[in-house]
Amino acid sequence: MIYFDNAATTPLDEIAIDALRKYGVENFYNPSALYKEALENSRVLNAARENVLKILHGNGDFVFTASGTEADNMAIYGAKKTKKSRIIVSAGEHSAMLNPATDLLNKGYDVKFAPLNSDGSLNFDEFKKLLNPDVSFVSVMHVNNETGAVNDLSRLVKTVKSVAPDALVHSDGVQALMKVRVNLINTGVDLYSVSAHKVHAPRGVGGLYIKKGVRINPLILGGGQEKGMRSATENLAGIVAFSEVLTKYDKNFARDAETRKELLSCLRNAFINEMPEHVVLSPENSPHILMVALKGVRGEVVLHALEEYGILIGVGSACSSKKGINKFQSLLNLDDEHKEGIIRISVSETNTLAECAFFIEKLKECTAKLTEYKRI
Amino acid sequence: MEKVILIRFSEIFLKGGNRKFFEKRLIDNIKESLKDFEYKFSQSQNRYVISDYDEDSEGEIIEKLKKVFGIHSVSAAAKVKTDFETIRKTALTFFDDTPLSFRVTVRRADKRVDIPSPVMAGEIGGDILEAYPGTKVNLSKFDKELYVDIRENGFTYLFTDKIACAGGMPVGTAGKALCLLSGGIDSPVAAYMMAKRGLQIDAVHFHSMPYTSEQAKEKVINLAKIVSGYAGRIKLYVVPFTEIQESIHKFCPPEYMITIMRRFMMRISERLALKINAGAIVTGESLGQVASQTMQSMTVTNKVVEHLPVFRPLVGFDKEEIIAVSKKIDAFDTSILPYQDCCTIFLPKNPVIRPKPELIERAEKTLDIEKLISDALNNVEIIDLNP
Repeated sequence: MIYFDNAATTPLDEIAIDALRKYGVENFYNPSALYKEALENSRVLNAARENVLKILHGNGDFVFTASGTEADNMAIYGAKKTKKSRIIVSAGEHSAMLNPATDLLNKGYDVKFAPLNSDGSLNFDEFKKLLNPDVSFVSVMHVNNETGAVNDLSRLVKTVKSVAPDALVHSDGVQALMKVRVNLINTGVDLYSVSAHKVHAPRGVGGLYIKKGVRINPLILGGGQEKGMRSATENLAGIVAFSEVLTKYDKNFARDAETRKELLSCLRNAFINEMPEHVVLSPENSPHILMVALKGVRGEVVLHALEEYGILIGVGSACSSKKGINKFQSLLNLDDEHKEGIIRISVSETNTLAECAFFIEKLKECTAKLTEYKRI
Repeated sequence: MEKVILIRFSEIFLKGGNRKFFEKRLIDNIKESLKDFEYKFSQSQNRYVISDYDEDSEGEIIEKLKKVFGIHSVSAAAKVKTDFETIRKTALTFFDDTPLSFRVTVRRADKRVDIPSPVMAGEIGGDILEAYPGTKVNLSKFDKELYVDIRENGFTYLFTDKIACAGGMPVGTAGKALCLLSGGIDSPVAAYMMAKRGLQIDAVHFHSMPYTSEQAKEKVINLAKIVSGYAGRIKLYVVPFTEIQESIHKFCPPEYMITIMRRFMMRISERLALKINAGAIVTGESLGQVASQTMQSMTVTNKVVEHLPVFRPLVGFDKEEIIAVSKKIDAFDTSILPYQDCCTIFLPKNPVIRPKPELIERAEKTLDIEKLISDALNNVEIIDLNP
């Protein structure tokens, strides 16, 4: 099996499994209980929180959630805003941000969707036109989940605050974590979402960074865990697994990033030199994703054809592919020959150049055959 | 007092000399649908009685029975010895302080009980009025009707609701048919409707990996499972269709793509049907809905079926009417999941609307029809689905 869909999810690292066992079976106690085992677990929980904050270089708090989606929802719904104020989210956001934003729009909020460049990054010039002093909330993802384009968060924060000093700036960092260097203090973002399962840690764990001094409302009320910001019995085993995986991958960051870069440029060069009919959409700075619009074939059909050879790729966000459309079809101004042919290859440090070569070979075979049978 | 469920069946099918055959099948189907429960089954005049079940399961049992074709209605009833005092006491348990209007209907099959029915009804009604002053009697416009059914076997059943069930004929009494299941809205409805007329249903689906996905197949499996809630066990035959579609695409004019594809489906379906002893083919076609469902298209696709009738129960239905049934049987939400099926994947821009048989046949001459069909049939995957 060749797995090129690492932006969808990743397999668990062994150390995550050890942590799940340790805090799921051995020290399983509820961190909010009153005996000393529980108290010890609450210390472990807070140590994990400190560790995540340290790795993100954040100054503030980190609230564990059950997913990146929940963290995004918490950010946009929890941020204080009046109906008169303006909310800006980029048009390329994950559904976890786009759908809540659309919900607020339907509820009467002034919500604007900022246009993208053709590589999936934020179009800053267009974005600036939407800014005004009444802006209360801005969300632009750090690394685009479809193309891998990296947005400059420092520039984003400075641009927003120069016009609307009180606006909260949120960034969805789900595809950025452990893919690009994240330094939240330097960027100055107020809120930042991450998810564990994209980095070899378990599903069901995510979190929202909240900069010191920033106040938002909780989304989930109940027993008051996470200082009242996110009620529910803490998923200690998952949280510790997340924290330990982060420590491990943070240490190997430079080496792994280099590996991914090498794999991506191998793939990119193959498209540019050997299959120039297809359009590579991802920009050079994409850390782990290569999005390509294939000519004359449907992306999903290619996906299934490659499946027969044990190669797994995506056609864009797995979270929106259930709806059968890729939002980038319309966002990136593709011509008719290419707009149905979007595929997303996302690599991890465990992939190899040999796998890339095999993929290229099979992709050529599939597209040659499928082009012959395209819709008439 | 004992809780029982009374089952009344549609009597129309009992008029012929085949009553025993129909009844046996109906009882078998009821027992099959209740296989996960413990209960006692008994027959009394023109009805069946489910007793000795776990009272917590009553709702679930009734939901299952509502889907068994041939059952007209069911009631959750109290069963007591035919003793007037006991009946009067039990009648009170069906009421409480809620203010409402009611009537009491007594049916006295057991003529050994010598109190006339209207007198009994009056007495019971009087008891209720006295116990619950908020209630009042209204014989023509009432919120609740209490039935007191005095049977000849020495027992009396009391109940207030007759829950309407699926009606129709017991599945299997009309034989077996093979239904083409695409994954859309129409075909599960067609399968449901023919099962309602007593046909046992098996299904065939044409699958075109890699043009269609595993999810598309999974969707068809789920739809077949939904239909099996009514039709009982369904065998789903998944026929690999890629090679046939590719060949048509390669050798035939694009505007004939759909027509020729449909002809292949019908040929394969008939052969499969004959092999599994099905006596008919069922499709979800509705006249004029799409280009392949015009009268001329149906003529051309029907032409390759040589031995069996093709039932098209939806032929005169509007889309809205089909959707209403689809929602009723809980298939709609599954049907509208947006996975490509093999019909849309090769859809030409301008499919022929009124195909001429001789032109289609000429176009087909370029294909090795027999080989394509036998290759497909040799690689059929069979999936067994139970409700």
